[in-house]
Amino acid sequence: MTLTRRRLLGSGAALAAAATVAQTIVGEAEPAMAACAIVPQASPLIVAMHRLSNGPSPSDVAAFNALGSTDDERYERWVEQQLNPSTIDDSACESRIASTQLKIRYDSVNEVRPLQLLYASDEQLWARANSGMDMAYAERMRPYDEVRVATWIRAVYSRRQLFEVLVDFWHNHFNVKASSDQNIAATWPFYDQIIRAHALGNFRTFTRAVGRSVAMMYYLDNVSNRAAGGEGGNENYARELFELHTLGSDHYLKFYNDRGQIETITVGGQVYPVGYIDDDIYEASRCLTGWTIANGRDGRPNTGAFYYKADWHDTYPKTVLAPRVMAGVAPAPNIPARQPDMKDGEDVFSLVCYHPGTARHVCTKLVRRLIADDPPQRVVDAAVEVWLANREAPDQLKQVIRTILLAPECRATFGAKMRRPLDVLWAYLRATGAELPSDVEQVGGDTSRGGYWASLFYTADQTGHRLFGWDTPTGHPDVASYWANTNGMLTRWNCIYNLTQSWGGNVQIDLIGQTNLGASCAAIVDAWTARLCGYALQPSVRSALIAFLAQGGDTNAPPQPLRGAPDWGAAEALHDRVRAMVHLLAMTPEYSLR
Amino acid sequence: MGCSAAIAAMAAGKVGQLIFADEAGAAGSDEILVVVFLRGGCDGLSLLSPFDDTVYRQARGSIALPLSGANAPLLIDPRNASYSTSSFGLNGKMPHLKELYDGGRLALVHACGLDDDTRSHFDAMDYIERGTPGNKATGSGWITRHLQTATLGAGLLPVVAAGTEAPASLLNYNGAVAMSNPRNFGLSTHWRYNRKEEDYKMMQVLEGFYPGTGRNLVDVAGRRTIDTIKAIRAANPGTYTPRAGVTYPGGSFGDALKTVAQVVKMEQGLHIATVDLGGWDTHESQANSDGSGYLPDRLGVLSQGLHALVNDLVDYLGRLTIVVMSEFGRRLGRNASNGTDHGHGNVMMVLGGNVNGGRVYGNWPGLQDLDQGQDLRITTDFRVVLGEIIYRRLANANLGAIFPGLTAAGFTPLGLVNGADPGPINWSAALRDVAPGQAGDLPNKLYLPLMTQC
Repeated sequence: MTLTRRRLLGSGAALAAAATVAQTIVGEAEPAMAACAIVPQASPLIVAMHRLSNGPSPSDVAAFNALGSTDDERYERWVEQQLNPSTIDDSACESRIASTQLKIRYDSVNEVRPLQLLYASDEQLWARANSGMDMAYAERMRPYDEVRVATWIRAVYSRRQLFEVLVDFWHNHFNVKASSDQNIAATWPFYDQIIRAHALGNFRTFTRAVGRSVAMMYYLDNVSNRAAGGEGGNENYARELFELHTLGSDHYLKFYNDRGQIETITVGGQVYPVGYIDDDIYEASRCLTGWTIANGRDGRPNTGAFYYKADWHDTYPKTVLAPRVMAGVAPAPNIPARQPDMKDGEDVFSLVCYHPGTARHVCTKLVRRLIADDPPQRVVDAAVEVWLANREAPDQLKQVIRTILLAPECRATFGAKMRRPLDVLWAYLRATGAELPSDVEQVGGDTSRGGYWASLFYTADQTGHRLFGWDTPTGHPDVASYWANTNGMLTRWNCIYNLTQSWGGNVQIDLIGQTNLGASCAAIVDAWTARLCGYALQPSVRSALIAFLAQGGDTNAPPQPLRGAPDWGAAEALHDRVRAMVHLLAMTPEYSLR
Repeated sequence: MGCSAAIAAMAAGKVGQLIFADEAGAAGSDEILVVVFLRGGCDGLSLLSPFDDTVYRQARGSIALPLSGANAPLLIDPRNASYSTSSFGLNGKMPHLKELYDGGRLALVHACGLDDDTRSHFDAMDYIERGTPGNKATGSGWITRHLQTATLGAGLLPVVAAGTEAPASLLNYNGAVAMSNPRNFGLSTHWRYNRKEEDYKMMQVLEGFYPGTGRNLVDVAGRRTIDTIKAIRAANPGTYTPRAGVTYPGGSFGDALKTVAQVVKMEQGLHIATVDLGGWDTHESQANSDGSGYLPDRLGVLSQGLHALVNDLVDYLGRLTIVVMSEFGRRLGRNASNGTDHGHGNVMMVLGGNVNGGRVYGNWPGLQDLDQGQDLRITTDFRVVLGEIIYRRLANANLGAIFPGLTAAGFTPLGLVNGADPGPINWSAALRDVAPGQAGDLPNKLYLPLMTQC
């Protein structure tokens, strides 16, 4: 690695490191990070439940514990099981989805319907998008609403927890704001299926499928990307394909053309330019001209399927990520004129997806999600190695993710990430055996009520963590420095209570029925701590919760109603106090860690 | 700074008491700066348009703004000789801003922005908001470093991000409060254990959970939230009613501006507020040939909102400055989707009672000689605009720390705002380094360690 290359890369030695991964040896874990006083001790169970799942549920903890005789054995078997989600029976979760009612109300329509569109055909979904059809906005948005409901149900009840975590990761990686366009909202189940189909698959196949989807086509405008005499096509998608989906901006060299300046690296016997320039984006967008959707316009059929419009395609030669001939000598175009239909675009997907910079960019993001905000370099290196060696394998991503999860750093690290708001809510609902709502047509004759899911989404969106609702193609940030803000803290605390209110989501949680009210205050706090956390709280936090429950009484005796305010001797007051204590437990700093 | 030193310093930094701090105000400390960021790359050539320039008309084709009709640009007098190559007009949907311009409350700077070749939204925003072009790894935002080097006035709510989160310009400033609506900034619980009569029992427990001693980001953010809840409870804001005759636009932008106005009128020492407005990435169907359409409507919302804020806060105008910026402008030529792709030079707007408005600042480079052969050049660095406001209105001379890399040679104030110079500019990039507890030690002057480093 030369200094020149390092300087050229700007962002440090990312590419050079990719070039040398073959020498990386998976060895002993680096010493565990010095923990803050607040951070509980990591254990394989805690990691599996709090970071690789959406929090512990009693049944998933029991299932984990039954997997073997040592922590490591249980963890490794759990990882393998979770990496093969189809082998996990999830019928209970699927029947919840099948039996859930979601309200729809507009004009004279006020109905509850099951989730009917999750598995609808592309044509059925496209029919809702079609602006030529007279259809209410609520009907067009309905497929998107159904996916949101199903995603919440799976987040809370699915036994394929790691899969749900990864689906969320990829939805953010290939972020589309679902409500930004009616074509996108109406076909959202299809986009969700693409994410689910490839979450453990092959990255090139995945990226290409995303690129051809109605959602991405409309979100980043490639649907209208065409060659036009003297004027540019639409480079929106091509830019984010490079910057966000594949190589990442760490590999953006920023100067405009002059490819003779771009240094090269050799990986696996192949030569690559170390990064991309603006000209790569312009030329890639030309390669993708004519890649559009059959939306009934300009002579296209009206099916909503991917469509290649040959007369929109720019057939002149193009240069995309071609390595220079030698220092100062630019390469000839690597994409010749008049290739067969769609070959230019296919070449682009291979060029960006197989580039070693892409391996590093996406592996870093995966390690950041699965281990720590500050990703351990050794794990990233190991993941990159597996990524590159399996770039054409159908289970490339599964192998990469397995490498990350089985790295010693993964199970030895806890609390190096902050839960995003939905992570807190889902964890709380899982731990407390919550019942997510099912809508009703009316409440006491009032047809404006009974839309609990809509209320739940409104409540949850206030946290700033908006499922399928992040505006820009970056997806939600995945680092604590973003989420640790006043609005985020306040709303994550308030949602714990608000979601259970009829106006805030009507989630049913029977905290009292799951509490032994005859046990001591200390024992009640400890029992709920075991349920929600599974680790020991800071001593000061534990004693504060016990003291709250006792309200001046004996902490080693069961809680008693106060004679005066605010209980006035009422037995119900004790229930309010127990519920408040569990809410406070979910509001601890510990509970915001993962 | 090592972990233990950071913790010790945080402990001495009195984070928990900051918003109750009562420090002597210095010149500029009662100023209010509102930073409006237009996310997505606002098309400055549609905002302040060289509408009869032949190069512009040819390159924009069907989406060039119309020369006549209801949506024709509103002709202004730039009062700047370099702008004589064509007529200039504010977008036809921006009569509100035209009024402020003509009244001397609005100054415009064209061909302005981030002098870096990036055409990436996210890199450009990172560079601008961190105040370090070319470096997005900087650990704090430019507003953060202003706050770290300024002498802040008294007050409960010095820094408010109107919305669900704080922007990167406030990165690692632990005093920033993100709020969507002051009235709703309170703990939502069952009534019984959080009553005023028992002094908010649940809140008391929460306070114990979050001592704010800097052990990690969660702790500090939690403490800040609790302090803000208490401060707002004390200030008791009601439902907000703007000044008579003032109408904010509907939607999140109008709501955010109302939040700013309400916090200003609460008189809780607001010094900096940030507001975001997205939806500017007009790659497709930007406008119709008659000058109507998506982008003009968006500009109309911006125009109406800024006009409403200025008029709502007319009693505070003498100490109010509003700056409006975006990450880059858009390409001169239209694309094949009747939109424009990412470009370079753009417009910045400065509004307020001490703004030398009614003028366009900076040098117009023309449309013949373009950046990368396709985009408006940049003749004014965005840091020069912000730097002048910080120096002359906020009375902070530490421009070296706020914009490391900016030098005396690169900083020639344009004369956008009134204000006495607060002494010589300190071009040292070093943040004030005072031992905890020593004279000059101020709260909130620390970078927080990331949890993983703690």
